[in-house]
Amino acid sequence: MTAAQVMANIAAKLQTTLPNSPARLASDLDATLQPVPFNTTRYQLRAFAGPVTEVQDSSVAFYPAMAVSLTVAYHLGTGTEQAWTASGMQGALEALLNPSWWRTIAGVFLVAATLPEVALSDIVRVGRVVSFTLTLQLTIDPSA
Amino acid sequence: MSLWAGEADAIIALVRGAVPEMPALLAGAERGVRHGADLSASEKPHLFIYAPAARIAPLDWLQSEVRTTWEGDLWVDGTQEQAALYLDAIRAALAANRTLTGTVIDCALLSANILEDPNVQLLKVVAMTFETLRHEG
Repeated sequence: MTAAQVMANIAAKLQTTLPNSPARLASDLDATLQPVPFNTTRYQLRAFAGPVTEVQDSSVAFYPAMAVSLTVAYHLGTGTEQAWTASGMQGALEALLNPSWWRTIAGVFLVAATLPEVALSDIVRVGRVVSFTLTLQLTIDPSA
Repeated sequence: MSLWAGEADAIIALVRGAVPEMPALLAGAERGVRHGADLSASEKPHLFIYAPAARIAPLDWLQSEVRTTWEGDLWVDGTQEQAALYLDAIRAALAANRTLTGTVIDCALLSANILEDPNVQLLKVVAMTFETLRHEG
């Protein structure tokens, strides 16, 4: 499986995991180009295939790595900030920070050196939009 | 009703709450401005809210932070102390209701002056500048 296929699989799973009518933004890199519509979730998925990594201390099997950065942005609508950060956002984070969520994606061999993580400083509010950015490193199984 | 008319009415409501002597409806307050010398005694204290001016800063996700300044003139037949007490009451009301009952994110009083004319002993103007904050998008 290629890195592009894995990215598509991640996006498909996000559609079923994130709350509030999630959709991927057309731009994964720029936060100034598109709105997050009222009371909905939008996300930006950035990934690149990195150098091959050794598989589980094997000296013969090497799989490509993929660095992933995911930004999830939610428009509060008429709700309060804490109604989101204390509830819906926690559920989304709990799902996405669990390595099992990533391992069960077709083409993901395992969660490698870097487990999914969100720094507190990566949870921010701008205007009526609250966003967090999660990073991790995957290993792609080319034979999947 | 426009957004600005809504903000003006919210500031008027705030000042009315602080200055209960203001006559009802247009006799006591209006959007826009006229010269206070045109007011009759039964129209005072009288508030004019006028000259809205917006500064708009773009935010991520195509949002905007909009800060709007408003000029507010409260014409008072009374002493300087009477005008100052009205101003104290307006500041206290604003401290207790900075969102103007949910109309904006925040409203602040940026400046306040009591204007006096030595030729007209009792007529005072409490000249105020308010600033409101709202997010759009």
